[in-house]
Amino acid sequence: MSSSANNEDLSYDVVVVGGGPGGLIAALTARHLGASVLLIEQNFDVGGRGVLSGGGAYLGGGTSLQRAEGIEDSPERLFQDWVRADSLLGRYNDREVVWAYANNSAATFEFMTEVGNVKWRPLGAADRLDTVKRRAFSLEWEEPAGQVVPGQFGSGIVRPLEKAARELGVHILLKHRMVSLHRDRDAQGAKGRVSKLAIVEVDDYFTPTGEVISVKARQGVILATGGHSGNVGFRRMFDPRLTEEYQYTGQNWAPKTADGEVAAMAVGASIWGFAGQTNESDGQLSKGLMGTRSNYHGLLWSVDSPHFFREKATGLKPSDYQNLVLVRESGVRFYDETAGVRDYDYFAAAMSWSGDPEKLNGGGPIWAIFDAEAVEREGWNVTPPNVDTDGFFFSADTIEELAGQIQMEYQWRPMPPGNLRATIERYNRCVDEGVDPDHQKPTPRFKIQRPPFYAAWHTPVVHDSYAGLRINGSAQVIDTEEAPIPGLFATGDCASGFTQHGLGRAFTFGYIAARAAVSTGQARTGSGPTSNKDGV
Amino acid sequence: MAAGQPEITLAVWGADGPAVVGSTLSVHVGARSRSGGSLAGQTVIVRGAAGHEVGSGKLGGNIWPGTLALWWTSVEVPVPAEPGLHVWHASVGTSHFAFSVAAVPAPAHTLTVTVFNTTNAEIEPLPGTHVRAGHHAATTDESGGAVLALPPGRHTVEAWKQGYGSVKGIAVVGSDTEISLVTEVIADKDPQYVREHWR
Repeated sequence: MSSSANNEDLSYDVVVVGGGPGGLIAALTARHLGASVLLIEQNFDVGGRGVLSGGGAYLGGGTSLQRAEGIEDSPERLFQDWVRADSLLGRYNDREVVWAYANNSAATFEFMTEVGNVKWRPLGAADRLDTVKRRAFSLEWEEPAGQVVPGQFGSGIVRPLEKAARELGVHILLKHRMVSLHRDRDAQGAKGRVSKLAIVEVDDYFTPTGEVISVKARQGVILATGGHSGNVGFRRMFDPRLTEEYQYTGQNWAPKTADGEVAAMAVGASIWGFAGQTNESDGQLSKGLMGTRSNYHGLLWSVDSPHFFREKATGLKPSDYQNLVLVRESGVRFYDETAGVRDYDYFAAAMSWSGDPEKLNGGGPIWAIFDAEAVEREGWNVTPPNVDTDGFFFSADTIEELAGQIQMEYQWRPMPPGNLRATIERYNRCVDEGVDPDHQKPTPRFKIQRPPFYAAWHTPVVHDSYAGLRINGSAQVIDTEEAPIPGLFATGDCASGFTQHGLGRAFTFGYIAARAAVSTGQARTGSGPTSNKDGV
Repeated sequence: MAAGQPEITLAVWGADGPAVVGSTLSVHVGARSRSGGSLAGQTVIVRGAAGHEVGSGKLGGNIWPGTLALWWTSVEVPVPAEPGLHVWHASVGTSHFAFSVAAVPAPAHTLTVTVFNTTNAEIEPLPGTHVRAGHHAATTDESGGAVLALPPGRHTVEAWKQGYGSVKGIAVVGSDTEISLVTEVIADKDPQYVREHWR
């Protein structure tokens, strides 16, 4: 489909914004119910963060896979697990949202299996708040071209949905993004339904290139835009520390710019679930990958990926933090480097005040400092494309020269060479003594001494979005007067009220949203199923 | 180059401890000029904590492999007779870099520490575990074993590996001795770890 259509041009029953897991299942569900469906995706491919994921979805409450493995479960148990008051993952959840999830989770799973043709591995161990085995993991998609990140099984959960959606007649419009939503007003100016949206073609870096196109949505618009982690102004509503230096997971593949939230707020939508975003209970931040801009620890990009031109580097993953020290932009250590990937005390130290009155929020870059012996022990290749030498990885003959080399957009002031030298001299003495009186690193083991020396970007990376648009149990977006906005639905990370990592809630509310959009749309217009030919 | 960086900067490597009291430590000292120009022939001086010269050398005519312009030499440094941490400063001109080593009595016996992973109620050797007794450190091999050369006496032994709990034991060394320690995966604050490590 081309963007060269006329400006009053496209009309569908349902328009889905975003081609990640929530958007794909919403599009497939709506089309399966007979609606004409357009799915808009800003990337050159669908899949969103789902195709980068491990392919695990919390879907239970009595699925066929659970029954086949002899697992007894029910919607009631699923609900009670995910609203547990003794856990930060459950305490703040919107129980209306979790109730709907619990009562639709199994049906979503069966739909994905029977209509979406998703193939599953045996259930994983019960984790997070699950008290029985629920989390279903897909097989990896067999065709390498569809994997994006080989080894990440998420390809096997989104590609079948994409295939089924295309075969059933969902129109997928790639490299287009939403600009705004239009909400009708009646003659008295009262707000009505969301009836259309404006979209625009974008290039490979998501920059608009074409004319704005208007798309009519007769039954509903379903937002599946992926969350807000990459919108600095938006994410700082929840955490003022998260200034511009903090990058986010999958940012160059599936930007999370809060475009869905912002567009919906402009037509009256309410933001919700703030506590879920700020309780530091799960995947809001991570550590563990370095030397590349988008440094989420769970994702190693393949140089063979068609997306790699944006990513530029795979990054380096430390297996043993005895091989490096972590310093702030000032060249000073700040915490025990061996801290885990979700240690929020570590993140708090990393993001604490830099001491510069010119930068009061955000802690600035964190750099991993190591030497040639560490490179040998870890077996790293410290040349591109393993590292991004365009600002995220530096090398030098001496420690002080290394400090001088660190110049990039987020290193707002030079790292004092004397600071870094003093840090390394002191750390090496800690290794001799076998104790770290400064930060209690256990058994400090290896000196940083043999040249050349390296500095790798190791700044905390933002991950999941849990706060976002308020939805009800039908995935309808709720306005600030606590009323549903007719014709507007949301799922996935742009929706809120449920602090659950991953794909399960995105799939479930995509399924719910599509069913609600089609049923309420048909009831409103008195129409039956629509041929997709009407949508062209 | 950033402001505040000296004209010449240094690196010192090979200061691997612990060193036996009264022995000689051979370290490499490298120097780089801000311009990257040759520093061959420049004098390197190593001084003790009190400022007295303990060794010297001249930078050679070759750069250290893997560097762009690091001119280097080796310097012999006498290790004091007193056990404990000792610090020296290497200098070229007005630039300097501090290095250190722990001096220890001559070892008399070996202590073999074997570390086992008991996660999932199974007992498996745990390679890559760092084992330390005071200034003495080693890392376990594929069989889970590490050998420390120790003076006689009572030693607190600590073992740690990334992602596993730290564990301590006491070893009384009067002859070649063996001990074993057990540890297991610690639950990271990432709930995902449950899936990755527990069956």
